[in-house]
Amino acid sequence: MANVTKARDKFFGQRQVKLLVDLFTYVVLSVVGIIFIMPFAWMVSNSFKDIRGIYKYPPDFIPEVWQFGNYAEAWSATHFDAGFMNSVIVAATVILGQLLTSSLAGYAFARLRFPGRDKLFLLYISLMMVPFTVLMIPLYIQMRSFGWVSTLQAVILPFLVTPWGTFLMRQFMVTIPRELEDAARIDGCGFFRTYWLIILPLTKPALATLAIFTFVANWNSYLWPLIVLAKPKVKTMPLLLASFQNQSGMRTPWHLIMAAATFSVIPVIAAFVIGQKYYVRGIVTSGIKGGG
Amino acid sequence: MIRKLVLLISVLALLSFGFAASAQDMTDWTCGTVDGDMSGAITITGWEGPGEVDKFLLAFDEFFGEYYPNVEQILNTGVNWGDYWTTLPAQLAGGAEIDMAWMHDTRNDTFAANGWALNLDGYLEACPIPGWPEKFVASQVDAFNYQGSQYAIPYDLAPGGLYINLDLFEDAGLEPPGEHTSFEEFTELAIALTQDTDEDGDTDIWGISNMVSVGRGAGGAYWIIKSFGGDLFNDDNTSSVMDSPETTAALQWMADLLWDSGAHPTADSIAASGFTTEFLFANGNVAMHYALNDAASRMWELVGDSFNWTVVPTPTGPAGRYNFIGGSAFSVPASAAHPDLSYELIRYTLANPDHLCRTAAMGAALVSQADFHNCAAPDDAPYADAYHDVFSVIGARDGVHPPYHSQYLEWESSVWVSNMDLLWTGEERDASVVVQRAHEQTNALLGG
Repeated sequence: MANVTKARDKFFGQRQVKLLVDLFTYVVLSVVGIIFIMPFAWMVSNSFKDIRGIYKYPPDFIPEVWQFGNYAEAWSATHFDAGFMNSVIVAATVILGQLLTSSLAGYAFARLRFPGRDKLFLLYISLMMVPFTVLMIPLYIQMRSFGWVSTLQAVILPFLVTPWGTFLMRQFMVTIPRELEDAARIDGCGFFRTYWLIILPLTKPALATLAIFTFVANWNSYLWPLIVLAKPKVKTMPLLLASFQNQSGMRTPWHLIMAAATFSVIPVIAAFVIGQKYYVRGIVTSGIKGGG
Repeated sequence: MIRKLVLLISVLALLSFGFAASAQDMTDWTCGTVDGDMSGAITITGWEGPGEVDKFLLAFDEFFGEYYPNVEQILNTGVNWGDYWTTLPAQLAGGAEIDMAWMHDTRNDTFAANGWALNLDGYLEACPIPGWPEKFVASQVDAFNYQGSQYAIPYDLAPGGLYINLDLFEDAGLEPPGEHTSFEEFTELAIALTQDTDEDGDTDIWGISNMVSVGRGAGGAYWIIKSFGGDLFNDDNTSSVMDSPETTAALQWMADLLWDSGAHPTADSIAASGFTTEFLFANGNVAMHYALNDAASRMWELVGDSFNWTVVPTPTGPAGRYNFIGGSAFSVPASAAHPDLSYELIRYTLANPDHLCRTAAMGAALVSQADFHNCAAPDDAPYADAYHDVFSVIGARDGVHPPYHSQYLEWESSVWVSNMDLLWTGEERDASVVVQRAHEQTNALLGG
């Protein structure tokens, strides 16, 4: 009986300790979460204020007067509809391109046997160390020679192939059991059918991870589009958001910028929510924490 | 019959006069090197967005509508200031066919020295701009001249001045400073106006703000240095003359406003207030606020008639009176596809008297031709008369821009700001110490 009591006490003691640890963990995570979410919450709050409310001191988190019209005004003020569509086209095309090229290249580096494969892979991923600022001017000259300045091709085509995506795919694909491929071969599949019917479906988490990273990177891409997209009708969302700051003479319409910024992050949040499950699995399996 | 003949002659005479007038107009605003039937696109890039750029867009539309109706304008305006100076060099180095670019006096020499901007001397000689250069404000003509050649045509100027809370002066029984107020008298005024109204040991009203600012370039101090008789570089900008007693005295005067008299808010006190100094002035917490003329329209919006305010000139130093002046211009990039057309557009936009008054009225800064400065401040604004005297007359007359050169921006960020911020943050309070260090670093950079 005494042993039962002792075991019960030990069990409940352990439970209490676990409960306390969990409680502490959740409190810490909640505080960190609030800290992280504050800039976004502040952005949303300011998007509903008028310009005087933005500059009010001490500031109000809840707007005194809700200005729902900020969204419509921001949307129409700088042709955000066209900018939104341009960003969608660019992000969607680059995602599709990168998923295809990275998975094919990753498959080749993970599974095909050819002389110098690993050295070539090392050489290829070493390109990740080249900063974009070094490439800017040569890339601009290239785009100009193609006649692509101020066209969406200029912000799509240079980014269809990525060493980072290849690295991600390769790291994931080497974890897939070879037996599955062997079985496919026995059933008469060649390299491409094995890739398409066996490897690619098993690579969904990594593909989702790459898709989300690519989407976020391209949706927010600023420097290169700023250099190469001069015509207003081809400008993407981040460019329009930035040019918004220079409007209305010397006064920056922060309330409208906040409304436009809120609008522009909605697709990013939606992409993460939709792909969250795969995204976490992809990161865990491939051991990659970030990049782009 | 005679009546019909007279009528016919009159109609013909009127038509001839009309044709002659339009032909005269064509001769005035085109240079004869571009085909009027030309088609294609002209690419224009600049940092000013809707609100400030509109005044020019009207002129551009009129120009192309009248002379080159088949030319399409590709306007890449409203580029964020910092981004503009990152992307424009990259684009021009990549051979971008940008036909006309906004230029700033701080960058002109760098662009000229790198071969990114076109030398306009040949154009100015072959097809002179009416009123050039005598009707343009001299300091701005000079600001866009590199090694004796003109690389851009100035379109505006922004002189510095003091925004004055007249109610605070009246409460203190003091007269606002004027053109001949010395720096010593100015300091006394600033100290007298500084108040701890609730007697909690913290300043509530400062005598002067925005004279000193952490991270600010040398432009904010150069006019004070000149007023004290000092300078930054020798005549050909190859070595430092910063270690002179006059330059040191000027910088010490600025530091003393912060750390000796306490009449100027420090960076910490500004941060603690949660406002910019402009808002502190608008809230009645500052008696005198230093700013350029383009702040007037914002002040009018922010302050309105909540208290009486006006503008006055900055003080006069032992070496004379100087004030800051800065401004922007239109340039033609060296890689422009249609440089002749760009020059014609610049010439029309900046010299056509038919719309210069409109340009002046729509912009926050003054236009580069002094004859049109009267159009600038809104007539119903109570500061309108003072605005004209302080900025258009005195400001344009005594304006001095810093000695910009092709290594100026590098010097400003690596030498000036890093050393002077020690003074402005209070880490060092003896100006001679930072001046000596800056002097040595400047010579190392310029090879002097």
